[in-house]
Amino acid sequence: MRNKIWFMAVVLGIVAFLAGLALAGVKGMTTPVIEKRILEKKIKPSLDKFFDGLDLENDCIEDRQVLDLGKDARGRKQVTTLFLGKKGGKAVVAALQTKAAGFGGDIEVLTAFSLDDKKILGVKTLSQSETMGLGARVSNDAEPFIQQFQGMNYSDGVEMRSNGGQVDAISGATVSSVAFTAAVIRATELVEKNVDSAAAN
Amino acid sequence: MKTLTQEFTKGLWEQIPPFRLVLGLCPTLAVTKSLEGGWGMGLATTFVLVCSNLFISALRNVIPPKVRIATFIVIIATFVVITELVMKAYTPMLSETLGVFIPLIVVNCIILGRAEAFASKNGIGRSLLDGFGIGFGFTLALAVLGALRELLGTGKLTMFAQANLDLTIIPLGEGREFLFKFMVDPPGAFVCLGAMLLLMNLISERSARSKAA
Amino acid sequence: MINQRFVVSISPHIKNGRTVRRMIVTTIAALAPAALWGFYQFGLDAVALVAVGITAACGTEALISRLAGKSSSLSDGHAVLTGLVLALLVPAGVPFWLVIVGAVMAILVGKMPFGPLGGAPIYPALVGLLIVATSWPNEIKSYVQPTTAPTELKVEGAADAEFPRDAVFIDPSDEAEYKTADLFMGKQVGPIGAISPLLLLLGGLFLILRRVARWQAPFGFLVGMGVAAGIGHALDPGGCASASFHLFTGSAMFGAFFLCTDWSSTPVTPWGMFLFGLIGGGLAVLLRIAGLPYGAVPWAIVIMSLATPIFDRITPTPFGKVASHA
Repeated sequence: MRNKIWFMAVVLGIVAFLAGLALAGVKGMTTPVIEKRILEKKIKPSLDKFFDGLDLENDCIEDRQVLDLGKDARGRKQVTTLFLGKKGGKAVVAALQTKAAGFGGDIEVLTAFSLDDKKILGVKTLSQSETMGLGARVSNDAEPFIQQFQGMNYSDGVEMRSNGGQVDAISGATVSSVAFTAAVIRATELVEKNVDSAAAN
Repeated sequence: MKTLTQEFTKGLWEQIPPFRLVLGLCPTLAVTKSLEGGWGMGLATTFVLVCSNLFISALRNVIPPKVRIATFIVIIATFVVITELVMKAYTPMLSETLGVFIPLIVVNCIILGRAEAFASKNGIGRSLLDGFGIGFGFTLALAVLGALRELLGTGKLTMFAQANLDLTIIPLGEGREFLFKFMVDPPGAFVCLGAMLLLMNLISERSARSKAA
Repeated sequence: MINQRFVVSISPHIKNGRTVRRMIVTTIAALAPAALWGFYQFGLDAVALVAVGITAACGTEALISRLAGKSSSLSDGHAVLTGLVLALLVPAGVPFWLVIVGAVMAILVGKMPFGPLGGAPIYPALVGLLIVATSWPNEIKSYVQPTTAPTELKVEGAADAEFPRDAVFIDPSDEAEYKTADLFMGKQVGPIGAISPLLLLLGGLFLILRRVARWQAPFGFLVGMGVAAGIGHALDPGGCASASFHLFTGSAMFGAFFLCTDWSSTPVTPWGMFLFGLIGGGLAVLLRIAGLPYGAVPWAIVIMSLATPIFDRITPTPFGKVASHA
């Protein structure tokens, strides 16, 4: 019987079915934990730091909105999360997660904006896989490259020094710096485009 | 026939995977940048190995021989994905350290090798002991390699970064991240692995000689 | 068990008065003028670094031979050469421990695992150099201002760290400031033993005339670098310096004559050697343009060494050979 083709199909089918069930169960159990963990461990501390002393009237993590960015080159849906901090019913600060391809993979960046005076409050690397000691320095908050974004005015756009802008690259890690800056630029564009409409809601 | 104790202890020295079976070298070289990476990878592999050994051994009389590899892979892949999700949820920092090498456990030769060579031919009890033995041997080897590389490379030993458990053995000067960066670079992994293989062979040669004498 | 009564030693087996020892002594003699120029330009620090490098290399080799229970191979002089080449390829300002680690690694990782002589797939001194260069990327760039160089020469690291090369004049737009003659005569900043293209060229020709080295690989290397740099310069003068600039800076000359002519890590056939050099030279220029943190020439030669078995397959057809009917 064990060499019959239907038996093989049945055994393999049952094994695969049970495996699928088990995976669906585990996935259902872990997904909320993973999402909550990312929000709490990675985004919340940064937002607390960037928005420190502003006395926002809402919890920007609770009020987060998902922005639909359309589809990428491979047709996959692209989304990002927008965090808005309000004061007197008006959005005053915003933070947004963007990414760009670096030297060793995507660099994910959280950029926080002050909307009234159009200034960047701060940037934070959420994930990266750059070269240790060179590009990986983008994940060090004390790095001058990261520090220079703080307080930067974005009303005229953000651009690398080599393109006539104001951002100095990390020496020896040009690709990573360009990618990081590209992510920040993307965030600026998205904020300019989306925040008014979001605040109206 | 081995005794049950031997079934367990063979994995710790006689058949210790990276050094004796010389299997599973990809994770051995890739994740042993730190002590934590070493034991984390080792324990994740052990979990998958024990579970897959258990199920494959239990189903060994049901699985048709012609589709056995496909069945093994489905079972192994299931446990790998479970491990990956659980680690992402509960040990996020470790999961980030290991990165893509967690899903790659599915192609680790040790697991499929034990499934094919051992679990599909032996009873549940023996298969479990075999899984634990080989798994702990793998963990031990990776942890030692990771500790050696991390200590030489950065002067630190990371036990569990999520709980801030790390020791600074050799303090570095201001602004320095590395002691001897080569050791935590990929080529350093080859050199360390080679040095450990040399040491293992030296020890077993010595002990064989003293037994013969 | 086979009772090993008859031990075949490593090649060369022909006895004609040329010994491995003499070949190595000739190589050291050929390096001597460039090394002395380095000592003159960089002072006692450079002398001390070279002494430390040689001592560390010899000590490591003696220790390993002893531990492995083999007779010491120190007398062939290869350890001395390894330590010397390593020390000549680092700038004069590096700390002593860096040279020591490099020499130990060169012997421990680069040489001894492959047998005392003639087995190393990569030039051992380069293994040591690149291990320390990747481990301490800042320390390895401790360039020192030479005694007789024109004062406007920049020491790398201070001025422009954006394009670190193994050549010191980093920014191609600065090229106009440096006179090719100065570079050629050795009035430039760089690794201790590699700043004088003139003396290295003379030393290399001496090696070739004494038939210790063959001409194909160095010739190919220089042609490769020259052509690649020439094309690059013609296409984008701002991004790539001229051919003479590339050839006379960094460790280009040193690499061509003393690294491309190693016995064990380079091809053995004439065409193999030439292609090895040609592609290696082109690769070195590419690596420099791409802004490798340190040591474009050493890296290019190491990469080519790994391809040596492929070049060795280029064999000349024996005279009179008829195609076989396979």
